[in-house]
Amino acid sequence: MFLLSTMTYLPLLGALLIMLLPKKSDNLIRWVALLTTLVVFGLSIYTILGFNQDSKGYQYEEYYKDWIPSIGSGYHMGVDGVSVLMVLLNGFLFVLAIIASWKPIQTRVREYYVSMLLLYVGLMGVFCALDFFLFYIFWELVLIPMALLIGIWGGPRRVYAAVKFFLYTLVGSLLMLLAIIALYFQYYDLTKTNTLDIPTITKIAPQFSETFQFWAFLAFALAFAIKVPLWPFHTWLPDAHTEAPTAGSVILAGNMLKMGCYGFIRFNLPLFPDASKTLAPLMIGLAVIAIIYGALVAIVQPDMKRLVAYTSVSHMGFVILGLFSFAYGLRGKASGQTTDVLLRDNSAAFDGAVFTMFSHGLLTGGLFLCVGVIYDRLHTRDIKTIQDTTRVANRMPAYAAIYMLYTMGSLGLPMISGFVGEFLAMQGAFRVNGWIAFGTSFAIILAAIYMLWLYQRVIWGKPADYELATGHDDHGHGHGHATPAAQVTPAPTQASSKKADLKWLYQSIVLEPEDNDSSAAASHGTPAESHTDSHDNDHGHGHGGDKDLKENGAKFPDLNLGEWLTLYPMGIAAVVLGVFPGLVLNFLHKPAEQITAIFVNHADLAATLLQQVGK
Amino acid sequence: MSFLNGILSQVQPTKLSFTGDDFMYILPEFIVLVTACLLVIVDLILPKKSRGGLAWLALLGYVGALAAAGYLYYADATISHTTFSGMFVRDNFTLFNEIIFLITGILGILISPTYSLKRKIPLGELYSIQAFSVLGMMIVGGSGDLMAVFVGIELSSIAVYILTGFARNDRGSAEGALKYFLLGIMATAILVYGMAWTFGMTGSTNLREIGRQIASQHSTSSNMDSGITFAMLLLLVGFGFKIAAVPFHVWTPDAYEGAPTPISAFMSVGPKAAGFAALIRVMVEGMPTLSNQWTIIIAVLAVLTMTLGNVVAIAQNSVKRMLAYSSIAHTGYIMVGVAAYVNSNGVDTNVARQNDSISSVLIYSLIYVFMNIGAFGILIYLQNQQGGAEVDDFNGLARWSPIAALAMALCLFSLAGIPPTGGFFGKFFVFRAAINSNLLWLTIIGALNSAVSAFFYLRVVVAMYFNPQSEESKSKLVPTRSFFLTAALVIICVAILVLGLYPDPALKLAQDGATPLFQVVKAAAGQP
Repeated sequence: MFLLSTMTYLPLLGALLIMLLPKKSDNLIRWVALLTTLVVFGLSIYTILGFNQDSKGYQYEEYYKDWIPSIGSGYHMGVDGVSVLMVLLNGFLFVLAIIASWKPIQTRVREYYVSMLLLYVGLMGVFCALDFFLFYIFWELVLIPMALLIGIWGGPRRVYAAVKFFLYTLVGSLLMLLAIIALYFQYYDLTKTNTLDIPTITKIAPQFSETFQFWAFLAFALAFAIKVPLWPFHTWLPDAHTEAPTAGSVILAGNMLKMGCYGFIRFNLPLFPDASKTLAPLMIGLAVIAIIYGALVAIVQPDMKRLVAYTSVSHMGFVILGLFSFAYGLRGKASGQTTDVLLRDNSAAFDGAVFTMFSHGLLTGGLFLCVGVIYDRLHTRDIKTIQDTTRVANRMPAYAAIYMLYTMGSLGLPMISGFVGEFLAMQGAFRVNGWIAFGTSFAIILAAIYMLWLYQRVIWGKPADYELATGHDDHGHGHGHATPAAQVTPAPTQASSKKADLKWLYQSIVLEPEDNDSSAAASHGTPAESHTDSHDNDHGHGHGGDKDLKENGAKFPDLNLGEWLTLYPMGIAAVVLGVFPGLVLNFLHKPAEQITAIFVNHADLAATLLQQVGK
Repeated sequence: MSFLNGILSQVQPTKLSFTGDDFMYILPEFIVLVTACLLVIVDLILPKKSRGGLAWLALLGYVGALAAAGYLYYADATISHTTFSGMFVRDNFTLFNEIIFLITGILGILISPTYSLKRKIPLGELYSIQAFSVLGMMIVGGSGDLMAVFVGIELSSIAVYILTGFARNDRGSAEGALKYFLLGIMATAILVYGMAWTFGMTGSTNLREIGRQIASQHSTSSNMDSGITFAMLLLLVGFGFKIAAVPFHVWTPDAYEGAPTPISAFMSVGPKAAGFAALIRVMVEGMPTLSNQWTIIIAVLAVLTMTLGNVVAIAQNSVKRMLAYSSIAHTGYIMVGVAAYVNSNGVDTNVARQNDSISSVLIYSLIYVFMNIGAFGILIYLQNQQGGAEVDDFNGLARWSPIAALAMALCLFSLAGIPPTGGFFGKFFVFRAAINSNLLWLTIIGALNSAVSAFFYLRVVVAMYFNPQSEESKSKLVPTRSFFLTAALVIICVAILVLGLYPDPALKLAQDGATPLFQVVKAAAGQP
């Protein structure tokens, strides 16, 4: 079976096919891209269904030793519990990203989908590669198409953001490359054989000296911390996110940030157990700062997308917090605990970290899509402008409803996936030190503040109809709690039963009891033309803002088909995971056990050495 | 000076002789020589209109030489044969260098015609002089004697001085040629002086004999050290000029910028690789005992070279000048590979490590040929279309010529060392060799430099992909098609990807190429 290779190179095939298609056939190109991603998504589902959760080690392995024998590099692919989840997330998000770019991307369509599919190749490869050389190739392959996506189809400061993104991540990667070479020679010194095979090197990792572990850990950690991004290496993220096209943001948040986390899980913990234990307090410290700092900065952002970007910094902090709480907990071996006990006590932190990776992909991806929906209609992401323009809830009930779901998920409401990961990660942190958990718990309150305040301003804006806010002078209507009775017009006659259902859904989820009457009336007041005019909404415009706003600001069609197909499946997935977290967590038992085993073996080794010295 | 007399008395005059076999071993060189002469003759006979066909003759010659070299390799893969009384050595190091130079020659021919015809540069002379230059480089690669090194370097250098000034009506071309010529002559003088000192110290110009003499006298005489160290320094300065290492690089930007672009492409790779071949031949074969001294000098020069090249390249607006500084920076990366040849006493137990050092230089030089000529090739394409060579002239290239933009992006990413290109593998292998020789500090500086270099390479990519084409450039656009240029770029792109994704065959050849040097070193130290 070449399942993993098929999944990795199928997008490349798709990209080549698109390059061969005639220039003008934009729709054909979109369909080819969609079909490619759908097939890969299907394969990724097939992979995860056939994955044996109870078996140790890597599955679906492909190993050809003779790729570059001179440097000991082989073509090795394989997935374990963590990476198979990431492969599924890739498969899922890319389908949605292709659909989400359907209408917004109208310029240089061919190049866009080629970049998108090349990005897909890199991202699939990163999670499947089990050879350092191969891994590094995929790791860097991701950079170029992403920089192109930001730099060509992005916002006004796109070039700056793209270059910053590229250089920032490149610096980290280069130091990682040196660490990989150093690791390679460390392995050579110990065994007198050359290899770049990740599992093989991991096997003898406990024998590396502590000094070596320390420096190599730092070199790897820098590369991954930039990618995660961990405070203080996060500064490229808000720029990249803000300027990227919607689908680019979804992939950036959903998949690319996971590359860094995955790197910590795959390399830092198992390869450098000593250094992981020693440096765990440092990493936990940085994670706590990232969590609080990200949340605080998010509150004051005037730009929707920038706000969501900072929430990413905060949420990814939970991943690092979980991972290194796990590592910190594993140092308990001295008091004579067995692997099982250690695992039982500490696996929550690991589970929480990986779960947050998965759920952040869905929820933040969803939030970026939500920002995209507004941006396509208003051509602005400025919260104040949106607030002063209209009351979005009245015109887009379906959108308001699903946006509410993502908001709640992101702030950690139980039953939605965001809660599970943060809860488990904090539980793990509590085992390290109660104060850490106490401190980070404030992030949940801050999350409620920034998310709900954002929701309030964006969705419950100025209640007036059609009047366009030209500036920020309209403070009288600011927070939009004035009763919009004057605007009530006859209900649309053609409201279908489906629409009625949705309204019920939206009312029951969104509305507060005392606000019910007026807002319900207002939502009935949505004029019919706003539904019918949805087609001439002009997408793919420049980024001028005001002119577009004047022309199109009044037209607020609710979600179109593409937006339905992206926002709702993602939301449903988030809820399903929130209710049945076991679906993901079951994959994590064996990986956690393996990492624990490495830590314990290592401690055993050290203990034996100590005994020998003692004698 | 009494010790000098003592040494001179040891010199036994050997009778120069050669046999028919010797000619077989220089078959590739011979073919290039014949081609060069034929080009001049045929150029005279052919009517002006059909002189474009000369490219085919030159190509035929190079490909024939390549085939001859390949035949000699397949006839005996472990060949190490000394010919013409030790002047010329046919071994795998020679072979690998011949491959580098012949490919440089082939690509140099392919990228020239359209550009040269537009600027009324006579093609026949161009091809012929270029062939002589290639011949000179090939002699350097296979030299077993300081005399051969000198003859080879001069043959190739003088040819390139002429080529630099080939655009006679262009002031920049003349200025660059004059600078290059004057500084080059000075470098040659220093080089000769160094050779004279070496001869004075060891009594021989034969590299193997020099190695033996230094090894045997190293332990007994202390006078030996200072004199031979001086010779070594002079030689390093001389080679430093040829490879454009900082601080001997001052001629490079002007010469590269002034020369016709195809010549810049040619001279930024060919003579540089020849300089490295000479450096390795002389230093590794002749002075392995002193490697502790020369590797540290090269390591320090490598830091200066990489850093200055990359930092100054950032400030350039002319892509041609930027590529000139980038080529200085790449000299620095290759020097990291040379510096990795550290050993303590002439013969190290870890021959594999030194092999890595030399083979990393070889493989990097090969990859560098493709990526740098590729980048210059797109520049030529652009100049053919609209004349300019500024970064701004690249604005919107991806819109009006997406394939050219893609090829340029590939070459630039390769130069920046980003996978999955050959440039990445080259850098990986060089850094690997250096880390193995405990030069971690050097590789960290190299890695940081590569990040800096990404910045200015990226500027061009940004211009091509992100910026719109200006109206002025649209108006200047004259569509020009060139079969040769397209062919060159296709070869280059394929080679960059193959060397990036499946470098093993080339790497094996490079490792084979490094092996004979160590046999020489071993023999010099009296070991089997």
